[in-house]
Amino acid sequence: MNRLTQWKSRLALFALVVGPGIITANVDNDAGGIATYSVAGAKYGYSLLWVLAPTCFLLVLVQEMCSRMGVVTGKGLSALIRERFGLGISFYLMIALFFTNLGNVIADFAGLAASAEIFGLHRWWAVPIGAFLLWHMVIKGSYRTVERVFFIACAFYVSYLISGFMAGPDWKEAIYGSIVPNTTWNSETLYMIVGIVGTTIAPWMQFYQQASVVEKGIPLKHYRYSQLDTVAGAILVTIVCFFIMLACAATLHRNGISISDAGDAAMALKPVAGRYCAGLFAFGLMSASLFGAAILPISTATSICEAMGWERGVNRKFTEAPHYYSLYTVVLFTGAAVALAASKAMLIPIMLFSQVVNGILLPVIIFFMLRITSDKTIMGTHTNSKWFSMVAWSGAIITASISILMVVMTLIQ
Amino acid sequence: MPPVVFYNLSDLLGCPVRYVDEKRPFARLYDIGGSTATAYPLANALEMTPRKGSCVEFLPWSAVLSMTASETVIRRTTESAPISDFWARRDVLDDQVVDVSGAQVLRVNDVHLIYSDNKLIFGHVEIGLRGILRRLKFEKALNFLTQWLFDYTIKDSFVTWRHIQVMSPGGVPGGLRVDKLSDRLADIHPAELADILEQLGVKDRQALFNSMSVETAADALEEVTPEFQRTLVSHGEPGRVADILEEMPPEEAAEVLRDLGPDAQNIINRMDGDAASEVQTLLSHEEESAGGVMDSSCIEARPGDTVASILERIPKLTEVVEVYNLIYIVDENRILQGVLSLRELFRAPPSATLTSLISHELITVHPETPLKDVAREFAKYGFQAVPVVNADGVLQGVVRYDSVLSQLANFLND
Repeated sequence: MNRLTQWKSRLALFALVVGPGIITANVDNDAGGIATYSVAGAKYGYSLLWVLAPTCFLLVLVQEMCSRMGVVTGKGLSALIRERFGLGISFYLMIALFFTNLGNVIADFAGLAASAEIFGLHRWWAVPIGAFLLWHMVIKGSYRTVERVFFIACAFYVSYLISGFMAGPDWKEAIYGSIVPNTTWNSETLYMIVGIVGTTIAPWMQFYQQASVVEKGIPLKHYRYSQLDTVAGAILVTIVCFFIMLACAATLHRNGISISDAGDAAMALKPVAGRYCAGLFAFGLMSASLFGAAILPISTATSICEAMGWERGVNRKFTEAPHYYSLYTVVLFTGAAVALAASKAMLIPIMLFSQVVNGILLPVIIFFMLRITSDKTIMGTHTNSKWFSMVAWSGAIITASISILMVVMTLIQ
Repeated sequence: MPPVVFYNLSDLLGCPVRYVDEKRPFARLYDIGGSTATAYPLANALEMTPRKGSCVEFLPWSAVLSMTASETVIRRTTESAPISDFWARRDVLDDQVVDVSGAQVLRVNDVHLIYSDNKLIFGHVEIGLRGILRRLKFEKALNFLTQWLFDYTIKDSFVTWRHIQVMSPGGVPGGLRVDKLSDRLADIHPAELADILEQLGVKDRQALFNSMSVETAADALEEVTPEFQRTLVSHGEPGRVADILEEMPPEEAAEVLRDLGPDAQNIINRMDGDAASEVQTLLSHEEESAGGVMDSSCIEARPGDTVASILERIPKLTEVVEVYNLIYIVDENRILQGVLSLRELFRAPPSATLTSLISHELITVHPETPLKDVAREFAKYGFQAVPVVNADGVLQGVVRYDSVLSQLANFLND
C-alpha cells in the first residue's frame, strides 16, 4: 500500500472512532465551566493560566481510563461498578450522580436564560422553548442525528477563540502567565484553582464518555485512535478555557470589573471589548448551555438505567425503555423549571450543593475506576501499567484532595 | 414430604457458617457454586470468607448438614470442593444473564433458592424493583407505604432458571456452556439475537457470537447496527468471519466490510472465490450507487432460446439467484437486449423464441447511478429489479428494489 492510501485509511478509521472524547470534553465547557473560567480571568487576569496545563493532563489521565474500560469491556462505567462493587454502593452513587447532574442542568438552563436575554429574548420564552426542543430531538430523533448535531455544536466554541482575539490580549503576559505559576497564594486563589479543576473534571464526564465509547462499538485494535480522541478533546477544551480566561483577563481584569457569572461576563464585555466580542461570547454561552442541557439528562438516564438494569438508549422507543425516558424527562424539565423559577439568589445555594456533591463523588468514582482498571479479570491484558498506575494514583490523589478541599472550602464559606 | 424453604441469595450471603461440633462460627458464607447438569442447577460448593484462625475457603455441598437464613452447619470433611459451572455471587448476582425465552438481557437483582431435603436448588432470578428494594433494606418500609397509600403491593418479577443462561464466569474453563447455549439460540429470531448481542459486554458478546452456527451468526450480523457489526467482525477470527459473510447476501457483506479498513482485505482473501469477487466488485463502487448494492447474479438467456427451455432451467436457478422472476436476455457479448417476466413466459407458447417476445422499452441504470435516481426509476415503473449495464451496454448485475429500500430506510432513520 502506498503512503497516501495508508494515510487515507488511517484517517477513515480515526473518523469512525472519533467523537466520544471530543464531545465529552466540549460539553465540559458548559455554562458552569464558562462561568468559572470567566470569573477566574476577570479576577486574576493572566496569573491563573498556568493551572490549565496540569488540569488538562489530569483530564486525559481520568478520561483515558474510561474509554479504555469502555473499549475493553463493552460495558458502561455504572454497569462495571455494579458488577464489581454491588448494588448498595451503585445505588447511592447513582443518587449522588442524579443530584449533581441535575445541578449542572440547572446551571445550563440558567446560562441559556442569561445568554438569551443578552440577545433580547426573554427567559420565559428561551428556557421552555430550549427544553422542549431538546426533549423532542432526543425522543424523536435517533442517536446518530443527535450525535451529529452535538458534533457540529462543538464548532460553535470557535466563537470563544474569536472573542479571545478580539479582546486584544497582551500575548507576552498571557504566555508568561500560562507557564509560570506567579500567583499570590491565599484561600481565595486556592478556591479559584480548586473551582477550575473541579469544573473541568466532573463525574458525569466519566460515565458519559465510557457510554459513548461503548455505543460506538470501538474495537480493541483501534483503541489508540480512541486515545487520540481523548487527548484531542482534552486539548480542545483547554484551548477554549484559555481563550475565555484570556478574553476576560484582557478586558474585565484590566478595567477592574468584577463579575459573578458567565452572563455578567458577556454583558460586561460589551462596553470594554465591543459589541461583537460580547455577542460572540454570549453566543458561545448559549450553545454551550444548550449542549450541556442536552447531554447531561441523557447521561444521567443512561448511567442510572445501566446500574439498575433497566432498558436504555436513545434509539429505543418510550414504551421499550420507560425508566430511561422518565428519568431523562424529569431531569430535563426539573432543570429548566428550577432555572426559570429560582432567582439568582436562590440559585447560589443550589449550585453550592451541587458542587459539594460533585466534589465528594469525584474521588469516589476515580477510586473505583482505578480499582477496576487494575483488575485483571475485568481488563485482561489492558490493566494499568506500573508506570501508569503510579502516575494515575498520584493524579487521582491530587484530584481527590482538590475536590475534597473544594467541599471543605465551600462549606466554610 | 420434606419441608420446602425459599431463600433469597442476598439473605444467605454473609451468614455465619459453623462446624456441627463447635459453637462459634468459623467463617461467613461468601458465595454458592452451582452445577448446570440439571435444568434447575443444584448447589455443589460453598465459598467462605474465613475468620481469624481458619483457612477453609471452599467446601463441597455434601458437607452441609443444614442451612437456614441465620446459619449454615457443616460437618467436618476431607473432601475438596468439586468444580462449579457458575458461582451465584460472582457470575449471577448483579451481573447480566440472557433470558432465552424472552430473548432479552437482564441484570440480576437477586436469586431465589429452594432448600429442600438438604438440597439447594437455583429456582429463579429476580429482576424487578422488589429485589432492589430488598437488598437496599427498603422493602418493608416502601411496601407499607404503597399499601397504605395506594393499596398496592410491589410485585416480584422472576424469570425461571430454566430460561436463564449465565454468561462469562470469569475465566473458569467450561463455565460458559456455549454448546448448550447454541441449541437454545436456534429458536430465537435473528433480530432478537441482535438485540441481545448489542446489550452484552465485549467478552460475552463475542462468546455468544462464536457459539452460533455460521447461518445464525450471519442472520444476527445482518440485524445488528453497523457499529456492532464492526466490533463483532474485527474481534472475530478472520476465517470464521469469512464463512459468515459468505452466508450473507453479497451487498450486506460488502456493507459490513466497507467500514473495516485494512482488515477487510484479510477477510475477503479467506472468502470463497465467487463470493469474494462479488463482494470485491461491490466494494469498488460507491456505497450509495447502483453498483454498490447490485446482485451480480441473475437469470440470463440468449435471444434464440425457447420459452420451454428457459422455463425448464428456472427451478434450478432459484437456488443461486435472488431475482428469479425476471429473465435478462443478452447477446454473445453479454450486451443486454431485453427483459422478460416470468408471467410473460408462462403466457407465451412454449416453442416461441425469446426475441419474438421482447416488446417493451428497456430501462437500465449504470453502476455509478446514485441510489436516489434508482429509487425514482422504481417508483416510476414499479419494477422488482432493474438491470445495471456499463457504458457499452454490457450487463453487470441487477438492483433489487428491497436493496434500495433498505438503503433508503437508513436515510429515513437519520
